[in-house]
Amino acid sequence: MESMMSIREELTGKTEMSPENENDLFIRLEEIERDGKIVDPLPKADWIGIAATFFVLGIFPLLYYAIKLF
Amino acid sequence: MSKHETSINSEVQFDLLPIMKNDREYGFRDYSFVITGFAVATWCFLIGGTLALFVDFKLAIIASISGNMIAIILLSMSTSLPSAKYGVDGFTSSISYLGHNGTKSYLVLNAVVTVGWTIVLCTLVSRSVIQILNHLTGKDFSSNLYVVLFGLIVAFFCWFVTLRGPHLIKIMSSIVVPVFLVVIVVLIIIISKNVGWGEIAHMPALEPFDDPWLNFLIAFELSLGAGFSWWPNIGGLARICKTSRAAFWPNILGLVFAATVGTGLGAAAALLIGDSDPASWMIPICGGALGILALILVSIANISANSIMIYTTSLGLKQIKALFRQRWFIVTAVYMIPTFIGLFWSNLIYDHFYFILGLACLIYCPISMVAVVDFFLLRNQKWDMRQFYNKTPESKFYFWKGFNPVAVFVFITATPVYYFFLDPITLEYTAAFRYATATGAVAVYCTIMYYILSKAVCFKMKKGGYEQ
Repeated sequence: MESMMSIREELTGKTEMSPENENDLFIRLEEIERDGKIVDPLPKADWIGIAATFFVLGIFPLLYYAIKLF
Repeated sequence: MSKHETSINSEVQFDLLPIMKNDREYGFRDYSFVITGFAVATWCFLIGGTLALFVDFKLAIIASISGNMIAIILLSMSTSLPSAKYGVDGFTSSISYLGHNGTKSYLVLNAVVTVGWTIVLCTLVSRSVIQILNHLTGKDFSSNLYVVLFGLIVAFFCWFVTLRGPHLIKIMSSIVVPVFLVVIVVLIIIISKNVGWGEIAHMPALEPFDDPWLNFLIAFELSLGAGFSWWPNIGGLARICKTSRAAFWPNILGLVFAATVGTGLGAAAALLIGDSDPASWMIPICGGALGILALILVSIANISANSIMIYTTSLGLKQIKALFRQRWFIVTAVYMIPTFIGLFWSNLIYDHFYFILGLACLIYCPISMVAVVDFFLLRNQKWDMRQFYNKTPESKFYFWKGFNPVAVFVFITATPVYYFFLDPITLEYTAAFRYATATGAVAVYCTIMYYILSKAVCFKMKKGGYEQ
């Protein structure tokens, strides 16, 4: 509730939105500030997967053909 | 203001709100289908045809996977992950590193690239119509006059579809994706049956340079451009995904692997016919009736894709204060007038379409790297969401007069860095290009410069809300 008051105080009339959309925005912002996010970020295992994919399918072919064709 | 105008304005405002978890539609499988349908489209044929100018079929596939993979991973980190976490699209999130006014300028720059794509797709439809007329009448309609004339008619039709609103666009899109997939499957079957992939693998590139390494590097560079071209779209889609995982991995499946299938097919057809223009393949490969049907289906797909681009870009332009109160007709006209003018040079633009990929690298690579550094390194993956919506100078994302000079400086100076390696319009390269791709060099430059200058300027002067 306190957070909602603070959001209203800080943003009312400053969003360039209609009053209905502005009100909707405040409700959503309050929920995001309470949870710190809407959905969880990627887990660590996925980051390892991303790094592996980046190097194996992105960088490695470039290096391979650099050695082969340069 | 008419009901339609009010609804457009309301949609623009509603589009800016963060999308909460319960309102999100896409799980992993849903988004994989959507992004695959989006990725495997006519531009794959165009890109494949262009790659075939420089490399053979095998290297076209490898360059496409490698270049797209690097671009899509960086792009997904810069827009998909933050957009999924906080529910805002890529343009709204760019306020955190460009500033409120900086983002509006960037919207205009983005429109320039989209106008380029619109001209290319209109010309492709125009050339397809000419191929059909040539085949049916036995006369030659291939002169520049007819290309421009049909291109203008197609552009007017796309504009008409856009003015009718999102409903008609949605109907067209729902038909186009399955239809286009059928065209691809038919082409694969015909090529496999009539020629065989072994033979295609042995066909040489159409117009390569003498140096094989340079040819591969250019194919790789163009693939990076193809990947980075997705920047305006994937943030908006990621915010409808239910998890970060669902927002990230389908990009790899659709925009890298599925797009490479379309690109490979485009390269194969170009090598087979000896022409990089997709409009000229269909009838020789598929035969008269089937070829004409394929050209008609591809043209419908292009009109639909164009209408979506005009609609979404014009919605974005509505965020600019001068255009917000304008009628929808005027806003779309702002987009369409340069398109109509550009269409008078349609053959020139279409035949050198790869310069749009170079332009995409020049515009979207710096922005992606700045976004990654800003969100992951400088803000520790946390945003003060209120600052996005406070449109007054009190907002911490207002920086100086609504612009972040560090991002603007890095963005502007990235252009000469790119040109130091490669001219994206003429594809003239320097000796340095053999040692580092232009986009790779720009990526490294932007990462280092933005980090150092942000620490030295924004952190020191307590601008941009970094101190939190």
